[in-house]
Order: sequence, then C-alpha cells, then structure tokens
Amino acid sequence: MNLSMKKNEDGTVLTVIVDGSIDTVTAPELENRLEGAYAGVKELILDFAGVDYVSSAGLRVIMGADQRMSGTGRLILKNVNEDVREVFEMTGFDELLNIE
Amino acid sequence: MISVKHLCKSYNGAPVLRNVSAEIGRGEIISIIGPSGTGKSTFLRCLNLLEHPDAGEILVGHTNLLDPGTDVPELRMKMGMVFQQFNLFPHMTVLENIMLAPCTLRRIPRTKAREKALELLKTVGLLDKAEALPEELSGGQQQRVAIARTLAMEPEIVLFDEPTSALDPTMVNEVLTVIRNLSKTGITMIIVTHEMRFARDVSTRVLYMDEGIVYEEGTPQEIFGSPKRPRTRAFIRRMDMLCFELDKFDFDLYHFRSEVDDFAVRQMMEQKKRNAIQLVLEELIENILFPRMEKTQLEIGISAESGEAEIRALWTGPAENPLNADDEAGQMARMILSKRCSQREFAQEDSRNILTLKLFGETK
Amino acid sequence: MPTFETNRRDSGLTRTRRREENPSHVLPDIRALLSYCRGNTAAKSRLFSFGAALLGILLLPAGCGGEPAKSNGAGFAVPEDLNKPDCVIGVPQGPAAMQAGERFFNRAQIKYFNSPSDGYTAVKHKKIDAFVFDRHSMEYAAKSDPDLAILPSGIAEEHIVVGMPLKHGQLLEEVNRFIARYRADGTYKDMYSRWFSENPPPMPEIPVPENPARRLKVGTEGLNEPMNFYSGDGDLTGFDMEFVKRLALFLNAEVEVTATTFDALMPAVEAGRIDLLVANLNGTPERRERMLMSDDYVDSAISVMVHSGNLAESRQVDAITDVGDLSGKRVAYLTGSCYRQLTEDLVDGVKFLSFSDHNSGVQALRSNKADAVLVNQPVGRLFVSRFPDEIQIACSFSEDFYGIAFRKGSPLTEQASAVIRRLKESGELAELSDKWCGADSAKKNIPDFTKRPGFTGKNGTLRFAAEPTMEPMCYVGQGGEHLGLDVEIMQRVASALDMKFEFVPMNFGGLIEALVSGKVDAVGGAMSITEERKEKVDFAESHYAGSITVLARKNAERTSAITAFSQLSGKRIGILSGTTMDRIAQDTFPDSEPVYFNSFPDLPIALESGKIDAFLMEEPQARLLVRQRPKLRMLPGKLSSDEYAFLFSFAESELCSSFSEQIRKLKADGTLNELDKKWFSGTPDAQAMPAPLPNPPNGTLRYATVPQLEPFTFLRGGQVAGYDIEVAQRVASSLGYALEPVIMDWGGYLDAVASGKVRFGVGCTTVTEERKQKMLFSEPNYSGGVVVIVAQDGAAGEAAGGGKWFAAAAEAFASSFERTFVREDRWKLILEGLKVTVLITVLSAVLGTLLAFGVCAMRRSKKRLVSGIARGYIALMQGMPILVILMILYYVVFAKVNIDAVTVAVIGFSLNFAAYAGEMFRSGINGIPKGQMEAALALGFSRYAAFRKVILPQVLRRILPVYRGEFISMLKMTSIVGYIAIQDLTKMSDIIRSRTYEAFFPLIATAIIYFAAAHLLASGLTWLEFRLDPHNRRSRAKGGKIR
Repeated sequence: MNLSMKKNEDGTVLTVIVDGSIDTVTAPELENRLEGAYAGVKELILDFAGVDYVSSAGLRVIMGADQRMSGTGRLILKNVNEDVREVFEMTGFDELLNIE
Repeated sequence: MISVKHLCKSYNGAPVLRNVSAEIGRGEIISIIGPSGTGKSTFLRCLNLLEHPDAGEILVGHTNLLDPGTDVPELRMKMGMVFQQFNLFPHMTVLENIMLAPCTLRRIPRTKAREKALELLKTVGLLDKAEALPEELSGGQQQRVAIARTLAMEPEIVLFDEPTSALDPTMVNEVLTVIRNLSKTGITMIIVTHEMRFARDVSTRVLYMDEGIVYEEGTPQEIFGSPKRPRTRAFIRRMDMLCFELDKFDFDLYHFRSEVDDFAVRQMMEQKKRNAIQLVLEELIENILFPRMEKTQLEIGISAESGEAEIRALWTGPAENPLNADDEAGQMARMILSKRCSQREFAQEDSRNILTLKLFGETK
Repeated sequence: MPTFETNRRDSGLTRTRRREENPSHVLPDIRALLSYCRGNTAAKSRLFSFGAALLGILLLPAGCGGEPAKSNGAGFAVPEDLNKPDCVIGVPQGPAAMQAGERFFNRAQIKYFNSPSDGYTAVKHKKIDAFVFDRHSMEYAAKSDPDLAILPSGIAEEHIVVGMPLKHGQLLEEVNRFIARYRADGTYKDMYSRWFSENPPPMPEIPVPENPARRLKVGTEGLNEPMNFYSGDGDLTGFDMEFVKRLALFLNAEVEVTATTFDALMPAVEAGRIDLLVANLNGTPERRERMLMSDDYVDSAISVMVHSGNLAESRQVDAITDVGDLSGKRVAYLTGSCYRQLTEDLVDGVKFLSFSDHNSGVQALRSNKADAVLVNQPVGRLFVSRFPDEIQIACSFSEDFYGIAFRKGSPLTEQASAVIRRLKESGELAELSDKWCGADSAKKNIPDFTKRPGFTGKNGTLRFAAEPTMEPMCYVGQGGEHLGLDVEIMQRVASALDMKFEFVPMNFGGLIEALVSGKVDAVGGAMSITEERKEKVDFAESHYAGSITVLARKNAERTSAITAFSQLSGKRIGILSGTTMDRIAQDTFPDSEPVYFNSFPDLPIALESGKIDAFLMEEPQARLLVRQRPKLRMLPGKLSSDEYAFLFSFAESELCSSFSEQIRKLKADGTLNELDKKWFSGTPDAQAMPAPLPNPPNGTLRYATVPQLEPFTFLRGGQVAGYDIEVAQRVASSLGYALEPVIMDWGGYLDAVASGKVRFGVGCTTVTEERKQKMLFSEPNYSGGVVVIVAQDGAAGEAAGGGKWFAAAAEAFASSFERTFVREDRWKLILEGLKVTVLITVLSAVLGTLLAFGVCAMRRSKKRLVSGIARGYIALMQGMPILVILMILYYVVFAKVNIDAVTVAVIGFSLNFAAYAGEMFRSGINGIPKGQMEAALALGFSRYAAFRKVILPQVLRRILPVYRGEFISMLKMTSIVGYIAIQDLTKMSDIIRSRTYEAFFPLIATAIIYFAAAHLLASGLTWLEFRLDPHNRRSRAKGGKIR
C-alpha cells in the first residue's frame, strides 16, 4: 500500500491518496500516517482511486478517521470503486460516510 | 451374498487396493464411484477372480472364492460380467454370441437356447439384429447385446465394469435404460460407473472408493446429498480442494492470499469472485477464527464447473457458533459474511467444530 | 410380429467404430478387402495367372530351338557359307574326309578327287570353291602357297590314331602310354612344329633299341606329305615315321615298315597281318568296330580349304599391320602422353579414347571397347606377355631411346656408359630386358649387388631419382621395394663403381631440376633421350631402344578355341562334386578354376552356355556324349588311367570277396569283354538287361548307384540299366541274390555305402588310394580314364538353315516334348515324382500342425523351463537349413535304422514346419485382445473351453493366409529330398535331363507342374478360409421366421 499526503496552502485541506489494499496488514500503517496529520485539518479527503480492496480492518481505520474529523471538520471519501463501495454497503458504512 | 474382507492388491509394487472390505446383500444394487485409478475396476474384477488379490477374503454365498479347491468357472456362471469394451465374439453372430455359453456350458438344447436368446434380444430391443455380426453394430447396440449375453446364463449377480464409459454420449442412455430395467427384476447388481445421476437413481447403496479403500459408503441420498468426508464431497461436488492448517502465531496473510488466488485462478474463477473470496477469508480468519482459537483447519473448495466455492473451518474447542457471537470486533466481519455467503452453517461432529460457508451458490 | 430379416446392412444408423478399443474390428476390414478382391476380381486374377502360364508355355519353343543360321557379306567366313547349291566342294576319294564332306555340304555339289594335292590345285585355280581334308595336311600345303587359306572352323572331328588288331589289348595300353608321354614332354609339339613348317628339316637321328624284346610290323602309305612320304633320297620319311621310330624305342621293339595303299592297309590290320597302322589314320566310329585305336597322336579336324581371295572381308579389315590402319579405328592412349600428337602427325581420321593408366586402356582393348592401344614398347611387351592369347603388338613407330641422365661434365656418365656397353656385349642386357618385360613376376627381383665379393662401398653413394610409376622400367613391387629395368641397371652401375645405391622417388617433372641442382647424381625411369634434354644434362649410352607400339586384339576365333591341355591354364573347368576328378584337375591344371556341379547333366549344359570352358569326364561316357552332341569335342589324351570297381564298406568284406571272385570269373571267360562290346558300341538305349532271379535263395541286396552315367549306369524306362548294372546282376544271380537299387546323387553315394544304408555301390566308381582307406573295393570290372571335354569352336550347330523361325521353333518344341515326356513313358516318372512330392508335403503339413499346437502351448507356458525348451527347439529349427536337418536325420540319426527315406523326409519337414507354425499360432493368439478371454471366462468357460470355442476360431482365421504361404513354401522345399535318395518331382526331372541333356524344356515343365500343384493344394486352404468367414457362414444359416 502506498500513501501520499498533500496539504493545501493553508494546511486546512489534507488530501491523502491511497494506492493498494487496505487490510489487516496495511490498515495499521494507514492509521499511523493519519495520526500525525490531523493537526489543523478541516477537511480530510481520502482519494481511493487506487484502492482495490478494503476489509473490515480498513473500515475500522476509516471510521476512526471519521470520528476524529467529526468534531473539527469532515471526512470525504473520493473515487471509491465498485468493490469497495459494496463493502461499505454490506456494512452499512455507506450511510455513515461521505462518499463522493 | 458377497462378503469381502481386507482385500489387498498391488501392481508392480504400487498398492491399488489397500484393505477393502464390503458386504453386498442379495438384491442390492451397488454403485461404486470414485476418481480414476483408485481400484474400482480392480475390486470388481477380483470378485469374479479375473484379478487375483494378494491378500484378503472373498466369500460368495458360502464359498470362499480364493480357496484353491473352489470350482471357479462354476461360480462364474452364477456371476455375469459386462465389460467396458463389450468384448463380443467377432467371429459369431449376435445370436450365436448369446447362445454359445448356455449351449456349451449348461447343455441347453439349441432350439431352447435360441428361443431364450431371441427373448433376451427383445428385452434389450435388438430383435432385428439377431443375425448381425458385432462389427456391424454401434457401440451402444454391442453393449446391449453383451448384457443379453450375460443374462442368457441367468446369473444371480451381474457385475458392470464401467458399462458406458466407452460410449458416445448419444448412446449412453440406451444402455442405461436397459440396466435400469434390469434393476427392477430383483437381480443383484454391482455397477462401477461415472454416471452420477444414474447411480443415484438406480442404486440401493453407493460405495465411494478412494485412496485404495472404501472411503465412504451410504445410501444414494447420503453420498450424493450430504457426503460427510472431504474427498467424497470434493468428488461429488466436483470440487477441487485446498487445505490448510492455520496457526495464529505463524500466519502470513499475503502468502496465504496468493496461494488461494493461484488456486482460484486454476479453477478459472474471475477476478471479482476471487476478490470476494479473499475478503470472506480475511474476515473469517482474522476476525472470527483467530480471536477464538490458535489453530484451525481450513478447507477451500472451488468447483470450476459450477463456480461455487465452499470454505470449511474446523477446530477443536468448546462448541460455540462464532457466527452467533456478538463481540464487537467481529461484527463487521459477520455482516460481510452474511452478505457475501450464500450459506453459512455451523455443526459439531465428534467434538470438532465445523463452520461451513458457501459462496456463489444458491442461497438457502 | 416383425418378420425375421436377413438383410444385414442397416442403413441409417451411425456406426462408431472404436478401432483402438476393439482391435478385432481391424480383421473384418481386411476380410472385407479380401472378399472384395475375391468377389469382384477373382475371375480377373485367375485369368491373369493362367494367362501368364500360357505365355510361359508359348515362350518354350524359344528355348528349345536352335539358332537361326548366320548370314555373311561377301566371301566365306565359316564352312556353312559354302553349303549352297551353287557351291562346288571337292572331297578326296576314300578317306573319312569324304564322308564328312558329303554329310556336311549336303546342299552343295560334290566333286571327287583321287589325291589331296589334286584338290589343292583345283582350289588354287578356282575350279572348285573349297576342298575338304585333314586340317594339318592342308595347313602344310597352305603355308607355302599364298593362294590357299584354311577356314578356322572345321566341319567334323578327326582323330588321328594308330590302328591295331582287336586282339592287341596290351599293346594298345602301351601305345597310349607312349602317346601320353610324348604329348606331356613336348615331343609332339616339337615334331609338329618341325614337320609342319615351310621347309622341314630331315628326320633327326633316333637310336634303335639294341636288344629289342619283340618285333612289330608297321603298315603305312607313303603318299601323305608331311605325315608319311618319300624323301628325295627315296626313303620313307615324315611325321608318322619319326613317330614310329620313337615308339619303337619306347617299346623296346624292332619294327619292320611296309608301305601299301590305304585300302589294303585296313584289312591287313583287321586280319592281324600288321601290328600297327601308322598312316594318318582317321579313327571313325565305323572303323573302331573293326580294329583297336589308340588315343589321338595328332590334333586335327576335318577342315575346309578355300582360295585366299574368297576369305570374308571382315577378316582382313580387322587386321592392323601398319599405323595407317588406325584410320577409322578407336585408339586408346595415355592421357598426358605425347602419343596422340605423334599419331595424329602420321595418320588422319583416328577416333581417340583417353585413359588414365595403362591397365584401363588394355582392358578396353580386351573387352572390345577399343580397337588398339598406344603404349611405349616395354609396357607393350609386358601386356602382351600377360595376355598372350588375346593381344599382340600390331606395329610400332617413332623410335625412342631411353637413357640415364647425369650432370653435365660428370665422370659418372662415361663410367655408366662403360658398364652398359659391357652388358650389351655380353648379351646380359637383352636378358634383363626380356626379364622385366616378360609376364613372369616371380623372376622380377633385383639381386643384392652389394654382396658381390670385393664390394666396399667406399666411393660414396650413388643417388638415383626416378618416378616409380613406370612399369616395367621403374616401379614399386608388392613388398614396397623398388623394381624395374632402370633400377637394376643403376644398381649394377653403382656396384661396379663400388658405390652404395640410394633410390630417391620423385615426380617426373622435377627430375632434371633435381639433377642439375645437385640433389641427386642420376635420374631416369623410362626417360627418352631428346635434344632438348641433352642441352641440360648428359646421357649415358642408351640402354633401351623402344618405340611407340600399337597393341591390337588377336584374331578372336583362334584364341577362344581350346585345342590342348596347356590352354586350360586359368580357365574354368567343370567338375562333378564328390568324384575323383577334383584331385585330377588340381594335379593336372593347377592354375585352372574348378567349378563344381552336383549332377552330371549340368556339365554339358554349362559348357554349351559358356559358363565353363571345359569339363572332365570318364572316357567311355565321353565318347558317347560327344557322339550325341556334336557341339562338344573331346581333347585328345587321358588325364588318368582309372579302374572302376564295386564299392563296399569294411563291414561287408565277405560280400566283397565273393563279388571279386565272380568278377574274376567273368573276366576270365570273356563275359566282361562281351559286355563291353555290347554296351560301348551302338546305342546303349537298345541293349537289353538280363532278367533277375525270381526267387533269390539268399534274399535281396540293396545297392546304391548314381544313374547319370551312360553307359555304365543310367535310367531307362524307370529301371536302372547299364554295363555296371548288368555285371552286378550277373554276379548277384550267381551268388543267389536279387538286387534292389537305391538311386542317389553323388553327394550321398559314398556315405550311403559307408554308413551301411546299402550293401554296396556300383556305377563308374573310380578306385583311388584315398577311398581305399575308408572303404573296400572289389576286383575292378572296367578300366577307363578321365578326359577333357570342350566346346567345338565356330558355329557348328544344327542344320537349321532357311525356313521360318517359328516353324523351326515349333519343331524343336515338339521334339523336346517328345523326348521329355513321351519317350519311354517318361511322363510316368514325372507322375510318380509328383505323387511323392505331394505325399511328403501333405503328411508333413498335417503332422507339423499337430506338433505345432504342442510347441505353441509349451512356448506360452508360464514355467520357464517348459517355455525355454520350446524356445530352444524353435530357434534350432529356424536356424538350420532344412537340407541340413534332413541329412542329419538320414545319415546320422537314422543311419543304422532301416527306415524309408520318405518317412525320414516327413519327420524332418514336420519338425521344421512345427516350429514355424507354432510361432504362427503364438502370434495369432497374442493378437487376440485380452478381453475376449476375459469375457469367455466371465461367462463361466474354463480356460481350455474358452480357448477352443472363442480364441482358436479367431486365431485360425487370422493366421490362415500366412499358413497357406508356409504350406506352399514347404511344397517347394521338398524339392531337396533328392539328397536323401528320394525321387520326387525335381529328381525325376533331373533324371530325365540326364538322358536328354536338355536344360530348358524339362526345367520349365517342372516349374509349371510345381506351380500348378502348389496352387491346387493351397486352394483347399483358401476354401477353408472362405468357410470360416462368418460373413459366409450366416448367409447359409438362415433361421426360421419368428411370427
């Protein structure tokens, strides 16, 4: 799994581009990377264009991020592919998250 | 009627029958199924001593077949055999083929034998071919004549050695019909066959042979409907199976996933389905099984034919259906499983817990 | 109810054949093919085979008839050319030549002359076209008169013999011994060359015996130059007279010679008033009845003299006597030599052929691919000495001198020249030249001159270079040593100069250079002395004067005729195997090539067809043979004197002495002489045999004989007859026995007597020392000897002449047919033989097949010992030729047992057949798929019943075609049973051939009979095959209708 993070000029929007699968093995890494990046971010965009697989471990991390942002801003998921969207639907997450 | 105990036979040092035992009662219709090369035909041919077993005992009625003093030809007259290659006598007409044994061995006068032969031909639907030569008949016709020939001796038991395996699919049915009709007459029949539906319809009992033994036996419903043992099931379902012994503290998810993926590819499973299996497996293993146990046996079966997949996890431990648990950690997993799997079952057998998940099949 | 249909082909069904799974399906396909062939084309194929046989029969005449007469261009080449109504032939009144001339020239006009010289004159003045007389006399006349020429081929035999009264049997032997000697030691040759040259010298001095033991009266004529005539001094002289003098010396007798007319001489001899008639006497068959005649002491024939202007053109055209004659001819030359250029300078229109080496060129000449070959003289001499009969030096041109070259100014030149001059003067050089250019390679070696006394080699080494490929001047011998005239001369020079000799081989082109540069001291090797070369080097005195010689073929006709024993060297001589002639041939003609034959009639046939050049034969039969077959001629002189007797094994010594006693009685009372006359003159065909004893008190004796030797023992009307047989019968009758002949081949004759299969053997059996060591001989009952038979040269032949070829052929066919089948009911013999052949074949087939089942069963047994025995048996039978098997059975296994030879043959063939048939069965059984046996077993058949009912019928059908082939093969193989004394079809045809001396007709007829018999018998098997085919069976086995 690869991650790249981009902040905008004033550091309020953080775009995280994820590549690969988010599963039991890679979810912790995602969590760690996000951990340090929340500071001052109003909008967290997760770009899942390159994500082909997400398991419940990944979902947990996303939920965690969502909760963290719910106070100060919001979490947006972008470019979610069909399979991943299905997983969200199966678990009812699609209702809870902002998916664009 | 026939009692087989601890039959063993090897060819060139390689064992084919490794301790086969079976009991066949009068009037039974036994089908013997199983993968090729597992000794089914060998077993059958031992019953009329066309093959000689290395060890074991065969009792036909009260007679020990393997006793050197036994009059084997006499015994064989009571047991008929139908061969995969028909083996009609090419230098005789159909009628002569049928009449030969009764006239020569039972000394039945020619006219009577002829009458009987014509009757039998009628039964198998080939009356008009009485004067034909075997070379002039189709495969299916030849096999039917072969059956008539066997019946001419009025045997008590008839052995069928893959009677339709050498036939075009178009001709298989005509022969199966004859055999089916025969099964209603009360004669004892032992049929080695690959025709599963037929075996299911006709048999009173099914023996599944694998690994040189009678791996599993039961009624057709049992064997075809709910086979218990894995190889039987794999065979019945026409599934290929991948088995693992998983250890929580020694588990490499990616290695596991790639093995499973390779396996699935070999079964010609497309990407989408493969992803689905991977997801189910990951959820099952990481969130349902490992939280509860250290070691578990995992069987993954995929049928290339039907596209169905089946995952079975077996473990020892307190009987508890993890699907009914309500721990939070496993909640999402359970949701995913319930959505993805067409069937989920939990059972306990002999102090083992068995969780069965089926994918891509009919939902129950 | 459906009626029971018998129409098989059910169209509409798709039939799926699984050939791989059910191989028995393959057989029906082959069957279908066969039945197609049989059904549709049976008529065609039958017609074809009979048509072929018919064609063969029609071609028979081609082999029987004689050759059509030759036609010539202008001039006479052969006597036949003169046998025309418009030719006038002169014959002398009285002598045998008269009758010969009358008989031969039956179409021409005959004129009679009182004396031969009148006849010669008539030819010279062209009053007559030709004159007929003794060749040797005429050659003498023709030598001195260029207008007279003798045609090379004669018209009749002539035996110049010494006549004696009938009572002088002893004297005859002595005279013959003298004749043999005077031929062998060269006296004859010498006398002939002297008396028949142009100017014969006077009679040489021949001593008269001092103490003569007897007195002999000699009669002669005196009118026959050069045989017997009056010299200028009025003395009787001539070849015959010298002969008489030498004979007298040999016999230690005093002779009194009287001369009188020829007509008076004959009765004088018959009456016994003179002892020896030596007067150019021609030994005709008619005369032989009235007096005894010696062997030929002069070789001659009755020949034809013509005017030399009338000789056929072709003869003269062939002769090459001058370079100019090469025009228009094919001339071979050595590639790269200057010969072609030199020849072209002298003559135009030559067709040149080039060859890479001399041998090929000469070979081309010998095989008539070239008319002449150009070679240098030493080479020419070499080849002529190698093939003296075939090639000769026709002419030479362009003189050529060979010399050894030395460096300019070298003292060696003069020294070498001195040595060469010395050799020339002493004549040694000429000797050396002859040695190296001759044919005797044994003489071609160089003595070691360094061994001569006084040689030290202190003057250094003389290095001589040459190219060692110039035979015979300089070449490499068989052992790798350097040989040749030039080499020997140089070695002599070196030795004379007290120098060591070293030979340096080098290419010709580099020799001069090497000499000039000093690498060597002398060069040579067929090096011609030319002006060019003289500018660079000095030559020693020339040691060889050569030239370019032209080699041509000798007149073909003269070279192919064999007229004397000496010409047999290197030729192929036919010998009957198992006889003593082998040793005789080896002793007398060590260089000849023996060719062995098994039965006598093959010899004359082989000679006539050119497969051998001559063959050996016992003298009495030789006389008979030559009378019957004018194409053959007997060479004068006997190779051996033999006695013939009865043959016994050592175990029969009692019987042998009884026989000897009887034979002595027959000799003493003159019976043997009577029998001799009876059987050896006139036609033995007509001689009756005495009746055998009806109830022999002492039983029947079985004896062996080889009835191919008329008139000693031969088959007539199915019975053995002949001189020896009659003697045997008389002896047996007086001893109280009857006789039962067992007919054999030479190969088995001796064994049969030695092993005790017969009580004795008789029939022209020569007494030899070798045989005496193994077997017993009775008192001899005949003395004869071995002579040589050769073919007549020229086209003697039958007087076919004119007429259409076909008519002549048909006539020949008819006569061959009559001789082979009709005469003496010979067809009965053939029928008998056929019966035996068929009997042996059928019995062996039946027995062999039964045995084969056993062999097959053993072979298939699981027990290693049993199958091993079977395998060994099969290997043995398949590995040995059937002939050897039969002979072992007959002569070894059943040697002492009195068993019929036919039984032995049946046993032998059955054993052999069983091996092959057994393997056939086995392969047939192996070909049946395992499933057949399994199906039968599953039905409850025992293995044996399954085999009988299911496997065997299929096997039989499968192997029947091969079985039929083996059967036919065996029928043909039975043709060898003649070796164990069975008279089958082949042997009968042999016997017939031995009487008719024909090859073509009896053999072709036999072949046709075998062919017919084979196919007739085999058709039985074909019928069986047909019956076994289920396709055919069921069409007859119609079932009842089912209602």
